Amino acid sequence: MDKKTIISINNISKSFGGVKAVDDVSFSVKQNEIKALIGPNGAGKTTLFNIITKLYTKDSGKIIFLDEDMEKYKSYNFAKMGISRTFQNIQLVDDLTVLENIALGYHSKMSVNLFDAFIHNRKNKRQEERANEKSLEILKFLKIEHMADKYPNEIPFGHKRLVEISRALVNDPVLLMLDEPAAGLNESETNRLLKTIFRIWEKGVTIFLIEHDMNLVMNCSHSIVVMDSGKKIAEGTPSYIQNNDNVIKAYFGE
Amino acid sequence: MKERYFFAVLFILIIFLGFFVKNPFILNMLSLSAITLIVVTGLNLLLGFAGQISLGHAGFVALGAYISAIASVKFGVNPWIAILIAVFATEIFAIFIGYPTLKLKSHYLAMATLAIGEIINIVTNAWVEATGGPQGFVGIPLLSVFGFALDNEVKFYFFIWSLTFILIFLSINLIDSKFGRALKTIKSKENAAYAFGINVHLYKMIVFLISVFYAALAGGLYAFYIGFISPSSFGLTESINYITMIVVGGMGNFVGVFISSVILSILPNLFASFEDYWPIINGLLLIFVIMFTPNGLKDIFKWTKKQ
Repeated sequence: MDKKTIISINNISKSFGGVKAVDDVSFSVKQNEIKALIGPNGAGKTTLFNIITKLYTKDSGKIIFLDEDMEKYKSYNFAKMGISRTFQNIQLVDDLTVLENIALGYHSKMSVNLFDAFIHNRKNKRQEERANEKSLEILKFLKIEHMADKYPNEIPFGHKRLVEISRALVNDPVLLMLDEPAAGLNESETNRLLKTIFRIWEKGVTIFLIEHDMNLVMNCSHSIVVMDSGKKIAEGTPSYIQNNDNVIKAYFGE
Repeated sequence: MKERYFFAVLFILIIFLGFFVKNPFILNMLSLSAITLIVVTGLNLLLGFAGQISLGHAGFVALGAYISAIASVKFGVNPWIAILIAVFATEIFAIFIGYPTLKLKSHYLAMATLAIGEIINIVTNAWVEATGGPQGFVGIPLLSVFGFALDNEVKFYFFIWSLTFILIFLSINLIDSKFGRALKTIKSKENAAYAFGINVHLYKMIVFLISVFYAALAGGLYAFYIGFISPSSFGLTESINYITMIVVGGMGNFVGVFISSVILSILPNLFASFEDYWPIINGLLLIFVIMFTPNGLKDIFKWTKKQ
């Protein structure tokens, strides 16, 4: 039962001015697990997420990914190491088609240099074809291949989320981090998302997500971490969390 | 990409034009617009695709022109080697300028490049011993290609337009690769760029240096073609002209920017008597385009990959 640890978060703290946004939080995500991070608004979930992906710098603590200390890496090294993420506020590039947006996710796997790109030699052509193939494959996997040549502002919101997930999947990540994937989705779109998350998990990808939608979290995760006012207040299985006094207090008051 | 076919057809048309037009005034005008087009194509990579504004690009053109001129006239270097030296020296300068300024965001970058352009302009005006000062630099020799001197308008016309199209095709190739995707991502979604493995600062440096390469090369060619350069050709007005051409053509659109650059660089020559009013006309055009068609000519000529 002892699974390999994919990422472990150790004693992370971060303050903005005098406010402790994240206060001494530790937990770990095991291989092939769906782990969720939940908490009321302002609990510090997104801050923690951005610290893990190094968009913010932490004040103290340590992050270990596959036995490597992430301290020495920059945010743009993470994709190559196998960490992919999506964004709560969709970060699709409007000037690129859906297919090109997904090919962007394949960037870290492409080794062409400037010269190859300038003269469009065979190496560049081969890698571009590979990127296209992989992107189409993912689009088919998520059943949105008919959107390939559209631009992001031409497709419905729920599909944009799926495109973001496709972009994060295209370079075969070890760890997929989803930042509020259900935010702004209606019920049927949320159901579809839930199925999608399971299908990705079945492929062997470890998933770590932040979510507001309790239903989704309770239905899909193996393990849940709850944060409130920057602190971790509980960690455990969905049924444990549902009956935890601290969690109920944090969400519904006394 | 449909753009490639468009430019292939255009290239044939322009070469044909070279055989039929005998008027040296018109050929000269078209050759000068090709030189402008080289600068604008490079700047479009930086401004149109990567979204980094440079208000000092005329300064880099000036560096290319002056260094080539000084190397060939004062040190007797072969014109091609002189251009090579000029481009190289300008790139070294650009690395020192670009490294800190490209860490700045939006308005600060514009202000920093504005200052650099102005400093170069002041130096070319004031350092009379090296540059000839406001009187200009005279007696720059002509270029020759494989032993053929480019000594008349017709020969230079063919040479410069061929080179311009090569440079345009190279930039289309660049944009149609992982670098193009990366630049477009840096322009609008910098956080996404980091998350997908793009070293944002490095890519900004790369595209900045490419655009400086185009500018310095155009400057060197300009110096050897006209044979005379003066600081007034490389002032702030010129930097703004380049930006106007890009905005009017549509940022990040090769076809639109080509059309607007050629038209906007030819018009002031056709109506030379309006020269003093040209900055006003340019300014009004810029305001008009930003207010009513923010995507410029792109809205009219929409060239998408699959239609």
